[in-house]
Parts: sequence; C-alpha cells; structure tokens
Amino acid sequence: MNRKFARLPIDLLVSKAAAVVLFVYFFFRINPELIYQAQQPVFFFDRLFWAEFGHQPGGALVWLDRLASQLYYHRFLGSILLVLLLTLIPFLFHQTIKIGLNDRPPQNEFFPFAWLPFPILILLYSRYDYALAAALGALIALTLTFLFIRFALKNWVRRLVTFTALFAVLYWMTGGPAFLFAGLIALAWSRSKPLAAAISVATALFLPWLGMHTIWLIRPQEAFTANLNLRSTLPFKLDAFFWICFLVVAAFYWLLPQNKAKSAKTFLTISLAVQSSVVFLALAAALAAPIDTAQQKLLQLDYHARRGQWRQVLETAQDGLINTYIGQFQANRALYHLGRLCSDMFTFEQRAGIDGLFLHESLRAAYPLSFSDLYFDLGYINEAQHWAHESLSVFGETPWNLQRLAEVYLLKGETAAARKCLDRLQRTVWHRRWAKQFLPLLEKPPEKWPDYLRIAKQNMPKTDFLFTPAEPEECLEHLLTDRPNNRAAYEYALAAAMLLGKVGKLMNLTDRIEEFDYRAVPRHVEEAMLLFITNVGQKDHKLPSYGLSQATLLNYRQFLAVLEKYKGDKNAALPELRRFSDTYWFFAMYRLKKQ
Amino acid sequence: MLPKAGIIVCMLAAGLYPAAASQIDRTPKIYPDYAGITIPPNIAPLNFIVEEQGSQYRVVISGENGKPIRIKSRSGKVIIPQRKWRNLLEGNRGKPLQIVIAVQDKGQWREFRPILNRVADEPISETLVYRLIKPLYVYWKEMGIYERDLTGFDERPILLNRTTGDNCVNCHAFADQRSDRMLLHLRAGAPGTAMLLAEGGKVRKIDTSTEFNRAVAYRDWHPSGKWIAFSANTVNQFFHAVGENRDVYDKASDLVLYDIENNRITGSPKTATEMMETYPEWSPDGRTLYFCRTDPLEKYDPSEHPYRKIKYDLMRIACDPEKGLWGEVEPVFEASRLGKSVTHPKVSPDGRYLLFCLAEYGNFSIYRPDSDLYLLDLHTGQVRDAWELNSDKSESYHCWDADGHWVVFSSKREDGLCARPFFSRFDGRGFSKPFVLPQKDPAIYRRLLKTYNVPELVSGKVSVDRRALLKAAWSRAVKAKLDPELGRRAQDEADEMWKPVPKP
Repeated sequence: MNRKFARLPIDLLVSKAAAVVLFVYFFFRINPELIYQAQQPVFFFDRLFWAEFGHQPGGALVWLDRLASQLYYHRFLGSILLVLLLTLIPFLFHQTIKIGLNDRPPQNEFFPFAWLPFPILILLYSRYDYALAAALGALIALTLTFLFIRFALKNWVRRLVTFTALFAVLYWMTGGPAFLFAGLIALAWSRSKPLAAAISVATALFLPWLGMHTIWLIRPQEAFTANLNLRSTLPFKLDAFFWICFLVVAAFYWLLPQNKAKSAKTFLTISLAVQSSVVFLALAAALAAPIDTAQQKLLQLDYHARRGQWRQVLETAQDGLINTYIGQFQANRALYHLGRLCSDMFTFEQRAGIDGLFLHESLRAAYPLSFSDLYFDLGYINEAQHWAHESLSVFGETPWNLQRLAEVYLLKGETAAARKCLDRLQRTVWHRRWAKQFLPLLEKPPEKWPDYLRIAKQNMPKTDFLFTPAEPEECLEHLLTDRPNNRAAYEYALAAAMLLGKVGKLMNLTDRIEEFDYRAVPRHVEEAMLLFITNVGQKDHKLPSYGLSQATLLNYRQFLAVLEKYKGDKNAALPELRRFSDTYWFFAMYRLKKQ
Repeated sequence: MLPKAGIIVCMLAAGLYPAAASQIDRTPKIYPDYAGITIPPNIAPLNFIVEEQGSQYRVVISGENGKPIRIKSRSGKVIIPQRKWRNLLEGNRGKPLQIVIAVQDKGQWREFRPILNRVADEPISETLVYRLIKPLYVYWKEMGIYERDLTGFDERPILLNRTTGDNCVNCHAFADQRSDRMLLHLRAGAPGTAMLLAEGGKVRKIDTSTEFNRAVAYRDWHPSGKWIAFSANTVNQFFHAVGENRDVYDKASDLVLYDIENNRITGSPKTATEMMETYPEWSPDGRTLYFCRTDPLEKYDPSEHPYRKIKYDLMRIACDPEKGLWGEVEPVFEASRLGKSVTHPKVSPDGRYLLFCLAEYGNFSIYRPDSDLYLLDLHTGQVRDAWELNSDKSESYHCWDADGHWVVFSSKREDGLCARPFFSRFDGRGFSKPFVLPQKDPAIYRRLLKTYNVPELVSGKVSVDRRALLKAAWSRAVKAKLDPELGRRAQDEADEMWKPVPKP
C-alpha cells in the first residue's frame, strides 16, 4: 500500500464531493430550519443587545453564535453554514498539526486523525439544540493557533508575551475555547521549550482566575467552561470528547516515534492507511447514526403550526405524535383552522381529552407561545398576552414573541408597548419587513386592520372574569357570553363539551348553531345530538332547520344495531364497533370514562 | 431669565446659530420629557432626542454662569459631554438652565422657544440600585440586581441570577442608605430560599423561615441597624380577562422582626395577628413601626373571589425593640373607609411626611394601573394626592433620598408595561415635575423590554463585596432562631406563584 493510496479517503473528504454529501445530509436529513425552531436564536443589530454579553467571558462568541445562527432560518443558508464550519475546523486542525507539532524533520505531511473532530461535529450538530458557539469557538481558536505557530516570533520572551496577550483577548472573546489555543501551543512548545509550555499552561489557568476575581462576576465553573457547550445529557459525553479529541490527536502525533530507517516507511504507510480508514469509518458511522426523530417530529409540528401550515400539522401529528399532548393540541388547532374540528376531531383517539384541546398544564411552560396562539384564536387576548410574556421569559425576545406581543398590544390599544416590540423587530435579521408593514396599523382604525386582527378584536371580551389555569375551558363560557358571535370560542366550547361528556351543555350550545354560518351540523355534533336525544329525548332543544344528515342517522342505526347484537355488552361489541372509531359514540363509549 | 440675545451672539460667533432662523412659538418636543423639570446638580447629562422633523439640529444648553454647551446633531439625538455638563450644573446651582433648540428642515432653520429647567441646590444620593427583569408573569429566567451611578452612566451588576442557578434575586435593601450594609433575598433555584445579609465586611446566608413564618419578604432596616422588620407573605397571583391582566393578593401575612446580632426572628403578637400585616416601615427615630393591614380572607364570602374587597389601611405601633416593648396598634390612614388600599409607606428622613401608594384594592401596586402616590403630613394628618408625580399608569415603589430633598419612584407611564425610575424634588410643599433616569442612549427606554424594579437610593457606590455575595449565595444557609414568645403557626404549603423556567 503506498502513501498516495492511504491518503485517498482524506482527499475524498476535503473534496467537493464530501462537501456535497455533507450539504445533502444537513439539508435533507437534519433541516437547519428545525434547528432555528429549536433554538430560536435572538439577535438584534444594536448596542443594547451587544451590551448584554459584556458581563461574561466569551460574550463576543455568544453574540457571534446568535448572529450566525440566524442563517438557520433558511434551510439552504443553514446547511451551507454547517458545511463550511464543519469542514474548516478539521482542515485547520490538520494544517496546525502539520506546521506546529511536526517541528522535527518531516516524516510526512499528512495526519488523518486530524479529521477525527469531523464525525464528532456531525454528531453534535445533528442535535437540534447544540449551539454554534462550540464550533465557532473551535474555529477561532484553531485559526489563531495556526497563525501564531505559522508566524512565530524568534525571541521566546516576545513569543510568550504575545501568547499571553493573544490568550487574554481570545479568552475575553470566546471563553473556554481559548484553552484549546493554549493547549495546542503548550504541546507544540513542550519538546523544544518545556518551560515556555509550562508557563503557557499556567497563564491559561491564571488569567481566567484573575478575571473571575476582578472583571467578571462569575463562578469558577463558568470561568473555565464558558462556551464549551458541556452538557451532561449528551450520549458518550460527546460534547466534552469534542474538545479532548483535539488534544489527544495532537498528543498522538507528538508522541508518534520517529524512525528514519527504510523499513519505517512501510510502517508509516500502513499506519496512515489504518488511520484514514478509522476516520472514514467514523465519518460513515456519524452520517448513518440515528438522529432523535421524536424531537425532529416535534420541531416539525411546531414549525408548521408557527407558519399556519395546518395540513402539514395534521400530517406531522398523525405521524407518531397523535398520542402526545402537544400532538393532539396542535392537531385540534389544525382541524379548527381547516374548519373541521367538530366534524373530524374523533378521527384520532383524543386520548388526552380536554388537555388535547387546551394543552396539559405541565407542558405550557415548554410551549408557551403555542398556548398563546390558542388564546389568540379564541380572542382571549389577555391570556394570549400572558403566555406570550411567559414565552418571552422562556425563550427571550424572539421575533415570534415580539410579533405576538405587538399584535396583542395593538389589540389592547396599548400602542406604546406595541411600538416598543416593533422597534425591536426592526433590528432583527429576518423580521424587519414584517415590523415595517405592521407599524402603520398603530395609526389605523380596526376597520382597516387585516382580517385576523379585526376578528380577534371583535372577539375580545368586554367584561372581566378571572382565568382558571386548572380549568381553562371555563373561559369559553365567559367568552361566548360576552361575544356571542365568537366562532372560535363556540367551536371550542362544542369540542370541550364533547370531550368532557357534557352532552347536555352541547345541546344548549347547538340551540345557537344557526347563528353561525354552518351549511350543515358538523358530524360529531350530530352524533352527540343523536346520543342525547336517544338517551334523554329532545326536550326543549330544537333541531337546526337543515336537520341531521342521513349518513349520520344511518351510521347511528348501524352502531346501535351492533350494540344490540351483543346485548349492550360493549366489551364484546368492541371488535365490531371499531369501524365506528371515528365517531363521538365510540369516544363516549370507550374513551370518556378512561380519562 | 437668561440674557438670550447674549447667547445668540455667542452662538453666531461660534458658527452654531443659524443666522436667519424663523421663530416657533412653542417649545420643541424632546424625548425623554426633560422640559420644565428641576434637576440635582450632580445628575448625569440629560441626553435626549429632538422629536421635530429636520435634517440638522443645533442645541445650546446654558445657564447664568459658565460656558454654554453647544451640540450639533444630524439625527436629533443630543449627547451632552459629561465634563461640560457637570461644570455647567455646578456653576448654576439654584439657578435656571435653558435649552435652545434650532432645527433645519428643507433648508430652513427654525428656532423653538427655549426649554427652561432648574438646577436645584441639593444633590441627590449618588447611587441607584434596582432589579432589572423582564415583565414577570409566572416564569422567570434572567434577572439581576444592578447599581447605577447617578452622576454618570456606569451600570454595574451586584448579583446576576445567571450565577446563582437562575433563581430569583429580589427585595434588596440598605440600612439607612449605607452602601456597606445590604440585604437581598434568594428564592427557589439551586441555592435555595434565603436572605443574604451583608454587614461589617461579611456576608451571611440566612434561612429566615421558622415554625412561625415562611421566608420573609418585604423589609425595612431599623435606623439603629440592629433589627430588620419583615413581612412574611403567602402570595397568590391571578389573571384578568380585561385590562391589566396580572394581579396579586396575599392569602396570609404577618410582621416579624429579625434580630441581626442574635440571628433570631422575634416580634410582637400585636403585629402578627389573624389580620394581614405587610410593608413594614420604621420612622427615622426608630420608635414607630408603620405598616399596612387588612382583614383576613376568612372574613369574605368563599363563593366569590374577594380580591376587590381587600383594602389595606395604614397603621402604626410604637415600639422599642431594644427593650422588647410594644405599644398599641393605631390607625394612621384608614383608606378602606374611602374604598381604597394603601401600600408601600415610606417616611421622609425628617419624619414629617409619609409617601405611599393608593389604589382601588390589594397590595401589589405595580400591577395596578390606578395606583398613585399620596403624601401624608404626619404632623397635621393631612393626606394629599401627589398629583405632580402621578399619571394614568401605575406609580408604585418609591424611596426618599438621604436628605429628603429627592424621591425616586417606579412609573409605567411610558407604555404601561415596563416600570422606569423617575426622580422628583420635594421642597416641603410639593414635588417638581418628575424626570426619568437619564441614559447615555436616550432612546434606550423605547427598546428595553425590561422593568426597573424596587429603585433604592444609596449614598455612594455599593461597597459590599459582590464576590462575597456570590460565594455566600452558594454557601449553606444558617437557620434563624425563633423567639419562643411568637409561638408556632401552621405553615401554608402553597406553591410559589412565581417560578423559574422549568429545565428541559
């Protein structure tokens, strides 16, 4: 095996083909837009935002992270960013080893293990919540290491002074990644100038300690790990291994024995081939490694819901999420927006019951803006405001939070607060146009607002009542009393009555059904009405003028016939009644009591 | 009045003044509103934005003495040089200060009627300490306690909750506005609920909960520095469907005294009754404790929420904590009789006046848009609306400066959402028009989505060691002892109303 053959995989890696493979991987498999959805990186072009990062080492890197992360907003740009970052890091590391740790007579120009961080980076950035700061920090630290070694001063005292100054600046800018710079430099110096290496390590430990006791108000953990993205939840401690990997690989080449004998050439060639193969296999494994599909689907669901892509919301929810609280919640919202809530909601199990309509209390802090969305749909603007502010606390001043708050404050007539949110939005990367288009609405009367805002305004309650977090559905009655034409509240009230098994309440609601522009009674409402009439009689309730559909009546007769066949034994009838599983009767019989 | 012609001559000579400016017979609009105000001679430059259409702006700030300050601007943003400003104010103590603004629009210069302010003789305390936090509903994440040099623009964190496990840091207070004696509370999060008490160069972490009381909250340091009066409150939050949506009421509250030297919770059965007592405030001589009091919730019909009926009166009790002597509780201002509720009583340093918040109900004035400041003359018993300070939005937490010439208070007048610290001079008769804390970038309040919480004036830069605070926050809390005379009381196990963002 000759050396040319041995370096083939690495050549392949750095070739355009490898970049294309990586691009395809991130564009199609990961989808950076979902990373944006997960991280919702906040960034503003203004000094106020910059000032937020002044109280910590590495603040500049966090700022840069937030700026670069904006590219995730577009799938293509996000993929390009990741490809560039992930290939530049091992490339720079390789070049650094080549010039820095190879200060002995050249044994070769090729260090395959320098590409080991590459598969690790792929694994790390296949996680949707992994911040860019680590990769950016590594890139900056490696660039500085390369330049420092490449243009090294001859005088060792000057070299040390320069190192100290550069480390201080790098630490101030990036935090923890500066230790990578210090570690590699110390390793590079350790053979020729062990004292200088020791001084560099001591400097790297002393300066953060000094900063912690003079400049920054931080704890030791923060002083020594800022921006290293060390999180205990990652498998195999990959996050920590990413940083250690650089030093281990550098040490490996530093320790590799020198042998100028002829036989050593063969050993070197074999060694390179083995190293290349290891890297290649690691890379293949990283690309083929399973990703967190559950998280990916949740993010997709959130992504589509945020953009009002309701058909996609339904598809995503039905792809394995329908039995989750958030899946049911978003699916119900999607059905409402598609005008199908009361006719199709039992096409899936509705296992969560009322929590599938109003989101379980335990999840509200995790999805505060989604919860705000629901109340915005219902015209309950004060609760939409409440949860938008919770979202502001949880996720910060994200464009979506600011948009919601601007809408809320416009609706409440608090234009100064709305203006404040729009001012912030005008300093974002992608949402400034939205803010500019929204701003004139502050001066316009509601009649000239877009439909969704006019409807929300019309549905806002006029008289006060108190919100009950444990029983959010109670608000529907208040909303309808105050605004009888609030269609969203009406449909949610019908759905809530069915989910809670309060068919009598539903009958009261159906007395008003003709006040809304239905062409026919929604199927599930018909089913619930039939159930009520069968059990209790019609009583004072009138049937809508457009009557009940023949299909529903026929279906109900068949349902009852099956039940009768089994003499009312619902357990025995279950296998046969499963064909009615998309009806309210089935839900009422088999699901309601279980909740 | 200043010799305006003289100023114009100076300006013409300096090439600053437009030769053919038309006169506009009104004062220009500026933001923040720094027109017609009285300012301390040591306040930071009042940078502002001229809100008049134009392509060039020229501003001359002058007084009877000293060199006028001339500023050119193309954006309308007027950034005043600090040294010149300081000299100008120092030379014009007790005298008027004039701001002349000329604007060029479409090639034409227009000069507005001068803005007239006044420099007071009395300086203000040099430091303002506050908590910066996003408008809080239930969940919090980032917050911090900061100090701001009022003579300049330096803002420095005292404690950031990022360093204390994202917990809640609040209720900072200083003994007699001394910068070396401070307390603050930590709630929830990894360091636990406790008080950090800094005095004598040391910081102690104290768990103030006892068998009698939950962890303490609202506080006032006794003038002797030996005791701190606290209220221990069980707070509940709820949400309205119309108007301001946040609201708070106490389910229970009592007053206790913390004896610093003996690390002991003590008090009087007269202020820890079945009634709900809160917001303690010492008189400057330390012989009277003022507080707010209302009926217990048991009094109300349980079938409906009583929040609108909860009205606090202003009370007081004579006491000598050194000897453990307590007088009788007596009403000072029975606001409930007027259908109102009193909160945050603050006595002026000379003991003559008491400034407080008055709202329709409840004790959480920052959430009540109708909360206004009122002034009680303790000599005459006369109460008056401090209308000079009030707006149609919430005016709430306030603080006198050490000499009683200045007050700072929180107001949401700007947007109803974020509280800002406003200052006003008090001359014994009334208050001057308030002005907002000056900022280096005068546009900052239009963008900053954070609220300035609990503004406290302090004499000088906070000298408590910030790193000692941080270290103490992570240390083990020392449990406060309970004075057996207070007895035990069943503790409400209610969940905290404000919570940290749950970790994923």
